Amino acid sequence: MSQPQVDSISNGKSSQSISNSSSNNNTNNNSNNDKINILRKYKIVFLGDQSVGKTSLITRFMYDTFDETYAATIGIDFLSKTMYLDDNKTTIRLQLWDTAGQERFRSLIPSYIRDSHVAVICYDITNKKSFNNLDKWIKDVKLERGDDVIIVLVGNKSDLSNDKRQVTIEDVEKLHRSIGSKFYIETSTKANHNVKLLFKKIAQSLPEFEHQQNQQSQDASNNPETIDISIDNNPPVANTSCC
Amino acid sequence: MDFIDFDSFGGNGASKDQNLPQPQPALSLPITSNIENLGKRISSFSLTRNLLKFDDSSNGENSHDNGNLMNETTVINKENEIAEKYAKLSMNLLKKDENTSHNNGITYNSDDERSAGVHNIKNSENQTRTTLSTRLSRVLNDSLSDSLIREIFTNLEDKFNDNDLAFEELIEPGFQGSVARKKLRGKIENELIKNQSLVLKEYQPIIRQLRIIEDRLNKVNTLNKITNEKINKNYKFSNEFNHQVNELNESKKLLSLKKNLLIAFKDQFTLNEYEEYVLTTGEINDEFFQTLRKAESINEKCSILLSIDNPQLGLKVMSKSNQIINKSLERIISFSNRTLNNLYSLSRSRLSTLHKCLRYLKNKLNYFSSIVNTFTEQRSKVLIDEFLNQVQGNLDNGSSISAPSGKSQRSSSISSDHSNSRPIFISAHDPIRFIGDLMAYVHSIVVNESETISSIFTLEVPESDEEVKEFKNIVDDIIDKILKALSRPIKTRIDQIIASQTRLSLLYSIYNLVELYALMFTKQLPNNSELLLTVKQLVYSSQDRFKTIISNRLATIKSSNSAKLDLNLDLQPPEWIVEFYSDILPIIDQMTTDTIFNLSKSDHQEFSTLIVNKPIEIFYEHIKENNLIEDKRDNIIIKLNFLDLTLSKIMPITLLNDKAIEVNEIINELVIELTQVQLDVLLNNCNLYDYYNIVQMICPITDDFFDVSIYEPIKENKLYNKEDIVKLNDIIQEFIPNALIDVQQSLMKLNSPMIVTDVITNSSLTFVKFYEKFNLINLEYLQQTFTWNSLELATLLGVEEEFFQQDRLDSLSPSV
Repeated sequence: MSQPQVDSISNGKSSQSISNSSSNNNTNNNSNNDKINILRKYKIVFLGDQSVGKTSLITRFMYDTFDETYAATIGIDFLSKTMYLDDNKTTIRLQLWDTAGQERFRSLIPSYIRDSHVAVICYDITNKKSFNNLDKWIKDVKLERGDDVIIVLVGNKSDLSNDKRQVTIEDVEKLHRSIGSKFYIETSTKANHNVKLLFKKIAQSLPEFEHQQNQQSQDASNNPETIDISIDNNPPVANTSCC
Repeated sequence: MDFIDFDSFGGNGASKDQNLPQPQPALSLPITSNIENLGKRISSFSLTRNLLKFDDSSNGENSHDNGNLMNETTVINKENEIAEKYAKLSMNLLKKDENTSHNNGITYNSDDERSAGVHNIKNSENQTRTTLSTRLSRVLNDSLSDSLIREIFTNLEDKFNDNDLAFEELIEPGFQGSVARKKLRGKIENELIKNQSLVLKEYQPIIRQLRIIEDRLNKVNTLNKITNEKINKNYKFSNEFNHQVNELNESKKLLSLKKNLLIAFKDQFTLNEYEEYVLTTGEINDEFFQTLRKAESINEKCSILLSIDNPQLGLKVMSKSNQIINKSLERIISFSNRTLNNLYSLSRSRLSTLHKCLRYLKNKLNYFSSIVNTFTEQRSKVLIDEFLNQVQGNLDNGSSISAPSGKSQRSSSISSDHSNSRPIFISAHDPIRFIGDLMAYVHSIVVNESETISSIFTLEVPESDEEVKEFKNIVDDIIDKILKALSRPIKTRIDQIIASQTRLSLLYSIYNLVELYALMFTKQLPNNSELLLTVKQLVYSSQDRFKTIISNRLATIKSSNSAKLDLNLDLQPPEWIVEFYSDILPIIDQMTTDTIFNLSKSDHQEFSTLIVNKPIEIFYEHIKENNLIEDKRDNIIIKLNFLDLTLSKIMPITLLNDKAIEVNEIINELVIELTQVQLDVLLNNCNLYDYYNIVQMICPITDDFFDVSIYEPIKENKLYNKEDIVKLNDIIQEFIPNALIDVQQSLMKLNSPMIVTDVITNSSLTFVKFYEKFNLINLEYLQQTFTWNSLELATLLGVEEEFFQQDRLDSLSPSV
């Protein structure tokens, strides 16, 4: 299911972009890490119904804080953060576009989906309606980007899972399989659970990072059979999020 | 033998072990010393004089020697010298003695005998006396110790014992005694001589050694002299040499000073070849900037050189350093421009160097601004190209692949990945989506460009907070300048869409969209940002367009024949006002702001006047132009119907509350007017109109105060007579029973039943009130009353309740 993404990138549709030009030259880059383009950015759009916790998810990731008071987002908010990956050498600049869940702002959102790399579609595990509405959001994403986007399903408010859960893991897993999302995860911005993991997984899902991983594994073992790590990665992601 | 007078030699050798004693000074007796006197007494005996001379010369020599060898002698040596001196003296005497005896042996003997005989004969007495006294004085005055004297005498005594000389002989005054004494003396002297010679023999090796020493000393002296001469000679030479050396030292000092000065000058005012190389062709790095700082400091220090008498040196140094600085500056500018032009190849090290360049250029505003301008122009061009690619979509893609735009394609893809997304197509069906996409794209551009510029122009290691602030302002300025380029194309595109829109609902959506983006951009851009101002202008454009559409629509309606024809005798409001309000009012109803479109109070007032007052005005004009509706009552009714519709439409909208009140007031005015018309109809139908006017002229009946006497002048009127009043009564009797139906029928076309009721009630009540008062006047001045009283009339007109209530109110009032 993630195969098409890998294919599309490897086919070089966006051959004009720096990410690809740099990744194509990765063999040369090993000797010169300094040459990595410091201006490379990835656009991540956060979608989902009103009050599912999109803004608090971003706030938790950005500032590691949680505000109990609810303030509806007006229009589209923007925040960006540089992420250091495992090896501490690779940095990725993430542009986080926080959309408003209110219906009156709905018309704005497709314009932001159209050039995004990742669509993080959020729902509230204590609100079945927000989960049911995921179809609408997924439809919007597919309409704008087709399969050329990484879709991530995020069930927020997992700290309330014991008392008020309305969406089961099975439900989301079923949806995940049907839509071909990259992975799904349950988070709690209040309890700061899985938030960092979510963004780490998003970063690892990005084509450039995957390409680097491929390159490293190729360099290490020279075994072409281990190229496609995206397929290998998906089941464990689902497992960890399930557990 | 004078030396025997020295007591030290008079000993028997007991003092052999001791150091040679010092010769005792002569007594202070009035006798001269033996040695001095000896020569005088014995004229032939020149020994003493020679001895003295020798003594003097030896003393002189000694003193001379001593002078030269002063430092080498010791106390012991002094004593030895003295001893040696006396030894020498003795030796000389001995030698001379011997020589004399050898040379003049016979003569001497004969002379001695002869002189002795002569002496003895001539001066025997005196001599004896003198000798004795001399001897005695010598012995007595001698400082010899008693023990020594005793010893001397003991020795002498021993001589007596050893020799056969009788003591008596010695003391015999005669010749025999003299011979004995001389004999004794000879013996003693002989012994002494022996002793002396023994002693002297002991000195012989010393003397030999002394002689050797003397030779050596002489040699040493000679050497000393030579050395002294040499030294003197050398001294002169060295003096000259020293002088020369001093001169050379002086010149050396001067030279070293000069050298130091030159070194210092070189350090302070010149760049070495390596430094020149670094500045002119070397890599731009820390060293480069350090060297550049040095070059600049040289330039600054040149003011010192320029202030000296001959400023040529300063000018030369300055021109050279200026040349190098300018070249370095050119290199920095070229590097900065090159780096900023090729952002896609921006690496961390290159960025770090760029920051150094920017930090340096910051103080050179013209260069800095030229770089910034070049960069902003280039970025602006890239953004515009990208924008046009996005907006024009695939149409331009073919041409954009061509060589000149290839670079910009690559550059633009740094800030965003729009090349990956499908282009924004303008759709005739969905202009909102187009504007939404466009604004979302601009939003992305704004944040991307802000991030890019911030990452390029924000120093990684700022030197101070001041610098951080300074560069933040620079970043803001650059972002504004770059994004400014997008202002015009965005405005053009959206203005086109706004201008082409005629549907108010779509325009309102556009307005909402651009206003929302203006709000969102406020978070990203400074308030004075050109792009933000452009978006705000788009908000105004959409508002203006909204107003223009309304104005145009009203203008069309105003001139529309169909709208005019829409007016007919059914007196109903025209269709256009219904359509107009059904279009516009739901939009205004959506607004949650304090004023329409969040306009200012005056603009809000103007806009509400446009949507409320202007249609009324147009409608009035249409009525005026229409010939069908000539009847005043119909005119008022159609207006009331229109206003009533307007009021009913605008009443629920909070933003138009003021206008609702205003319309209500107009309605009230019209109601009063219609009431008056209706009253006139009643009066005319009852033939009371003239009487009503006469009464009103005397005193309006509407006044609270009423007194019949006031109306006395009515009698003067010709119309006012009993007959006419009777006739009037008949007419009233005839008309009133059907009046209510007539009135109601005439107001049937009035849409608002409340207004109808008001008009009927008010007109009837006024009529009844007049009727009542006129009846009282008639009673007073004509003694004639109408058949029906006022209550009956009110009942017939259907306003008895209102009349009753009013009558009750009037009775309560104190004036009646």
